[in-house]
Amino acid sequence: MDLVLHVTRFQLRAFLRNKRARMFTLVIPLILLALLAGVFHGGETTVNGVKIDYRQFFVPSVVVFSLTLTTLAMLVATVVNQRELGILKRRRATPMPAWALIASQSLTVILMAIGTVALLLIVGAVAFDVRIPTDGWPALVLGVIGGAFAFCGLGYALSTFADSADSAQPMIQLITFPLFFISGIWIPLSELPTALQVIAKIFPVEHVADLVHRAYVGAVPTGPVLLDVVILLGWAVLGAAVAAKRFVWLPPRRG
Amino acid sequence: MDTAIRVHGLRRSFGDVEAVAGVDLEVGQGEIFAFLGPNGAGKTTTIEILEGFGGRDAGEVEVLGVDPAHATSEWRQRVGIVMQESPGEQELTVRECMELYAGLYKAPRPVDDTLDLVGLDAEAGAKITATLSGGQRRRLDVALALIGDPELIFLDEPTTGFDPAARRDAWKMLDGLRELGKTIFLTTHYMEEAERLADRIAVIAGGRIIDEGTPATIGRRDIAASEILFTLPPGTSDWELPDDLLALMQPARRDGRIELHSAAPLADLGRLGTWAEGRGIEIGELEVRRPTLEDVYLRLTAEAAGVETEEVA
Repeated sequence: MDLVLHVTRFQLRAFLRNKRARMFTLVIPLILLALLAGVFHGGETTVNGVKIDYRQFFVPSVVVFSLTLTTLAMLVATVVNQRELGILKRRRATPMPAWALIASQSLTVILMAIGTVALLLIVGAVAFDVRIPTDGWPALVLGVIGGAFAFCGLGYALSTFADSADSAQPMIQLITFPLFFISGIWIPLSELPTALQVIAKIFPVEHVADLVHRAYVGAVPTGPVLLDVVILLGWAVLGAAVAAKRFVWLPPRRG
Repeated sequence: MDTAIRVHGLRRSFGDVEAVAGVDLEVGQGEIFAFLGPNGAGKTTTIEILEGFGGRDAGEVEVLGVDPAHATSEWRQRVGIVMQESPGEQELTVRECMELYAGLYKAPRPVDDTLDLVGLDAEAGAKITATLSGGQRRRLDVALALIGDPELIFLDEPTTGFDPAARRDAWKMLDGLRELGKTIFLTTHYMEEAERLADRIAVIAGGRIIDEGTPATIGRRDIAASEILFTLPPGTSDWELPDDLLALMQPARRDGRIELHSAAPLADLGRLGTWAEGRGIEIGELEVRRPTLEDVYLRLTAEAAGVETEEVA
């Protein structure tokens, strides 16, 4: 465990020095938050027949958006990049066990995600006066932890389908952007056709969104908490299983 | 001498291609062993198996007394690996990189000491990895492989892409490792490097070891014919040479010079001299040389390629 923390410390440091990583995890979510909450001030939207303030809808949405990007997208980008550069092989060549390596990478992105979420919560509260009621915290914590598990598992699985950082990027966008649209973070789920709602329910993003929205507005939820947790854990397990079967440490052979 | 690496009957296929087709190797403790071969000869596959990164279809492998297919954390404490090209963690400084890896070993070498050993000074230590020059990055690779104080080090093409001065520096650094008593398993495409560093050499081609020996004896280099190279003045034809010298002449010229292969170079030179003096001509661009390691290597690998083609036909 000491090893995990040791490596995580250095990885966080490297992350925070990386311009692209900062852009991804901090700047883009903040800009998005400012735009959405700023543009749609005073309006109302209807979710499951309940009228709520736009800001109350969008602040948690941006939280989900950045949680997904920081865990899933950053993890895939990091793992694929480190494999391509031979860093995975070099780490594997040390006495550090494989589980510790995987744990430290996951922990790094999860800590980044928690940091970003905290920042968004504060900005949301201070700048836009959107706060989480005290009884909403358990749902938020559940959403962040469940999402982190699901997206890390999924991230490791997806990382085995790209052999360079260049090919990982479009793959991640292709997967996340449609999911964002059908998962009730830009458009309330209840506004979508039933078929899309069912599809959204199969994938993890909607369930993270459900939990985080639940934290902010008790009434919005689109399904039981238990379902959210089960589906998120399911994706974590499925991702881990695929990764266990396909994961490689060595860089792709050149010729 | 204790054995650091012992390989017997190693085989590994990828699909229809048998990348490693029955390799036997033995490397003694404290030895610098150069593993040579053209690209695609099975070098990388063999090394990956020795490093514990690749599976095998058959054969016995023992590295530091352990089968690397079951590499334990304990075993990894004792083995250092320098891979081909690895840019490292771009955003960390050299010193941070070293600290990161030092923290993964039970008894690491001191960071400053290790940076000294590879010739990365304090200034470089403060630099972000991404800004290092090619030579400095390679030194960092070596430093990272040394930080755990391994007994055995795999060096995969350590000086590829170096300029001649950087290569000389790298060799000095490797001499330093020799003095520390490390066993080094080296691959390289530079024959001069193998000759300068290696205690022993093995050449692999087509997945098989085609020859093995010291830099002086490999490919029967010690008893191979010497080469006598020279030119004749204009107006004198090759065919005017005495018959016993003509018999030694190679069919093709080398760099525009006549080439004789001689098992008794002193006697043949004497004959050449007497002949030239008798005719009153001067022999130009005269050179007598033993085959270089590169000559021997090229002959061995060409022969191996020839044998393979015949087998297919």
